[in-house]
Amino acid sequence: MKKHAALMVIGGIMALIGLLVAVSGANLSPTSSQFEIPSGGDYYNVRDIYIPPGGELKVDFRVTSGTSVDFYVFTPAQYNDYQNDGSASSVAAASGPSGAITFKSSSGGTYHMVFDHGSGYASTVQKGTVNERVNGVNVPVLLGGVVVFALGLALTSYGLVIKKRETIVQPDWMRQKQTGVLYFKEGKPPKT
Amino acid sequence: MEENKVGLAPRVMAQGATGPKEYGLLVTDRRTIFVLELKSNAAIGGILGGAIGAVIASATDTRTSINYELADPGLLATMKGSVAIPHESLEHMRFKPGFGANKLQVKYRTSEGKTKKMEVMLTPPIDYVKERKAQGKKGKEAMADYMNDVQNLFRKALPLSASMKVEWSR
Repeated sequence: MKKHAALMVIGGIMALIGLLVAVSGANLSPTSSQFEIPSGGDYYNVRDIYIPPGGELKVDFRVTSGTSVDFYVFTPAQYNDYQNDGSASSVAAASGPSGAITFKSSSGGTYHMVFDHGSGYASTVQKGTVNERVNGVNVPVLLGGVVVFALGLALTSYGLVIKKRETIVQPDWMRQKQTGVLYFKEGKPPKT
Repeated sequence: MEENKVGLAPRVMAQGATGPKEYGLLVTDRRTIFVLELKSNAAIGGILGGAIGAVIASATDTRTSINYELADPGLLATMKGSVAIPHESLEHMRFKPGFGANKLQVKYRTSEGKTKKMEVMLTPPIDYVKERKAQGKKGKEAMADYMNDVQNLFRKALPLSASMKVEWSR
């Protein structure tokens, strides 16, 4: 592979990765997924989510099998208590066959989202869908993405310059016989 | 605004710090561009001495063969070692016949406003000399023909305001 092609491929991949990272840092796209709570009172479904300082978490869920669930958003300390003694002190909660919460975090950090069996449904497998969206900018990730994107663009541009140079710089064996002053067709008489 | 290539003198030479430098002399309707094609390190070979010195020197020579038909003048002007002189920056140009080689002396104003001088030898390519010799001409006549050709190139390319600053050789 020629140098310019390698640079352009690497630069293109870097720019794409940088763009994806920057978009994820800017939290521009909501995510949608499924959850499942196995049968049994000791089982629940947990997932972690990062909220940047001043960011806002919006979650809505819908149970597709097993009717009612309890949904909580815990800080790490609250989650620890929940694991140890079932304490359900949380920063946001909802219950039922469907629900939605909005939680704004001033300090930011990683939170735990828990789906647990609703009252009377501990012995059934419960399934559902959940949509979550974090509004807020994860500055380090966004900046990292932008830097990688810019580096990728710079590499691609440099590859283009090299390509242009490779076009005009020919191997020595292609050197034409030099028999004197050469005139170009595009040359026009100068304006006076 | 588009820049039109007018003509190319395939070879002019200048003395560099580490050895001779060979340029392609491209003249457009806007500027004169000396494109560095060969940078020789012969002087280093001389310091090292002997055959080994010569081999090392020639191994470190850097040659760039340019396809001038395709090359964009803007890109050539920014290539490492290139010297680009806009016609309006020309202060004086002189074609000077010499015993060893005919010379082209150029005095011009840089973009920083400083005046610079450049002197190159109008050394024709080997093929050019061979062709002239085949026509029964002597080496010196071939050199004179080449200088005339280069002069004609500048006559065609330079605007009147710049052409008036040229000391032509007769």
